[in-house]
Amino acid sequence: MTNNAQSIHIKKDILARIVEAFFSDDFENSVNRIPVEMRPKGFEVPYRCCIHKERAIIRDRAIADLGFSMENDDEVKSLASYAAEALKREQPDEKPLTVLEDACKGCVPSKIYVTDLCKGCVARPCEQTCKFGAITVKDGRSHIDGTKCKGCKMCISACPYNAIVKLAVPCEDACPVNAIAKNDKGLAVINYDECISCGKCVANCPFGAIHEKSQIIDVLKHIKSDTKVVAMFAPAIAGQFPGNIKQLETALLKAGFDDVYEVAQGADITTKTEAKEFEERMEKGEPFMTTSCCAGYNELVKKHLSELKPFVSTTKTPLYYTAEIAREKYPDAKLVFISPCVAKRKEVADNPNIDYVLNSEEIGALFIGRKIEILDCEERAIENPPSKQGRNYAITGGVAGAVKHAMKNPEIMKPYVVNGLNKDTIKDLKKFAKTACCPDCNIIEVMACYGGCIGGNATINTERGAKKSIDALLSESKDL
Amino acid sequence: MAKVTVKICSGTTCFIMSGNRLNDLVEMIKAQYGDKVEVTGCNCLGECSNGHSKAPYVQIDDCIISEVTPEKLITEIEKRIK
Repeated sequence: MTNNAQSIHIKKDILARIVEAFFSDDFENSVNRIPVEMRPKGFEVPYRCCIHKERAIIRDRAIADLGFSMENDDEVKSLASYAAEALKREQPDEKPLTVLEDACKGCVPSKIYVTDLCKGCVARPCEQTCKFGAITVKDGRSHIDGTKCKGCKMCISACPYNAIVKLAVPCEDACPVNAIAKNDKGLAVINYDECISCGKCVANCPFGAIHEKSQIIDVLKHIKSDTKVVAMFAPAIAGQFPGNIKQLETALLKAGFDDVYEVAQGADITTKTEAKEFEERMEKGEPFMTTSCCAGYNELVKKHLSELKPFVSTTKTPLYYTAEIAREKYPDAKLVFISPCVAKRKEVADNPNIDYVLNSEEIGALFIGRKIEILDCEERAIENPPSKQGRNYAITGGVAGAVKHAMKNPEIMKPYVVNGLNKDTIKDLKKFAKTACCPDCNIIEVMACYGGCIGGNATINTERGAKKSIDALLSESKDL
Repeated sequence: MAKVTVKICSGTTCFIMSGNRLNDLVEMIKAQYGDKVEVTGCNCLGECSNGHSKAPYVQIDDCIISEVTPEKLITEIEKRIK
């Protein structure tokens, strides 16, 4: 869940309008009208400099929602043409994110900056502390030579007036692997060789400028056709909507899916397999093992922490096992994973069993667009419901807790939880790998998002609200 | 003084359009205002039939307020109990 409620509101508004347009008599024309309908003549301009910029950014968001990159946009092509192209597309784009240029330019490139609070004091601790000779005092005020400054921030802590600040670029600061940076034109650019798709830039940009390229049109196309389309929802999704999950399953069926699976079902297989693997590793005398269900973490290991690889559990993810079960029953269907985050896009792209990913915001927009009232839905009978432990995977500590529950000798487990990836926790993980030691621990549960999957970048509910709903579900679920 | 009645719409549209954030306030409102305010969730108030852009909605006494944020809800409650 991001704290940027305003831009999220606009995002969901546009998505729901795209769903409505899709089911209207004239999809292309209806999509084309979205910017003007949301910001009609005379509309009070809420956020930007003028109504035209507001409309331009709504157009940008709609392009991303139709599944396209803003990076390739020529600013002339109409939304109607994009909509037509989306209908013809066979395969969605693999890179999951795009930066909306019109929305991005709100912040300046990150640098150390001397504010008006500088008194040009006699002591000049900034000048004294700077190891790179980047600071000089001219006209009664400190100046930083950008070509010499290395951004070490020593001057910031040295200044007794708190006059020196680091200009923040929230996406850069939030990215745990330095995969996003402003270019010389002031536009944020994602380096996909480094990016682990964790979604932190999406959640942290105050302008909502980093956007997922949605696959919703691809899925809706199949829903409208004769193809069978099957939904598999992540454990975190159980906490994202009003009503209970039995009603949610009915709502998904009403929205056009032919069948619905709880990924918690696959989580039960992950739990049993991982518990066995953990016990075997401990018998062999290995120092520790890490979990492997978080897609953001798996990408981190692949791209940035290969030294950790031998310690990562080789057990497959809950989604992997759920997709196997669903695929067996529906060999020709399109399988759609309903995700709380963007990271799973990468896992799904690498798994030929799964066709598409929609996040909870997109499913929410689908419910709004189709006017499905979840609280009025009948409860769908769930045969063979997954366990309490499987349904608890979405909350930090849940995975390690489930594995412990499935062990023969649970008392040997000493868990360590990484509750959210950031530059510091990555440093810790690197250290554990290098020294082959995690003090007082033998299993590390890694969650890229704070709070676990219920803190994913594309969740709807607050973490508190999601936890409450999931806790209610757990109380009526059986132990594994 | 009459009690202020607050109904937070938990219909699909309101919930998804960030109305869920208001549910986190329920306990706080009860603790802060005690008997002066009665706050509950409710099924769809029907306001979204004219479009989802102005959701989430809350009914305070006989009055419907739109685009409700946690801040706006508290301001509206404060206005009525003063």
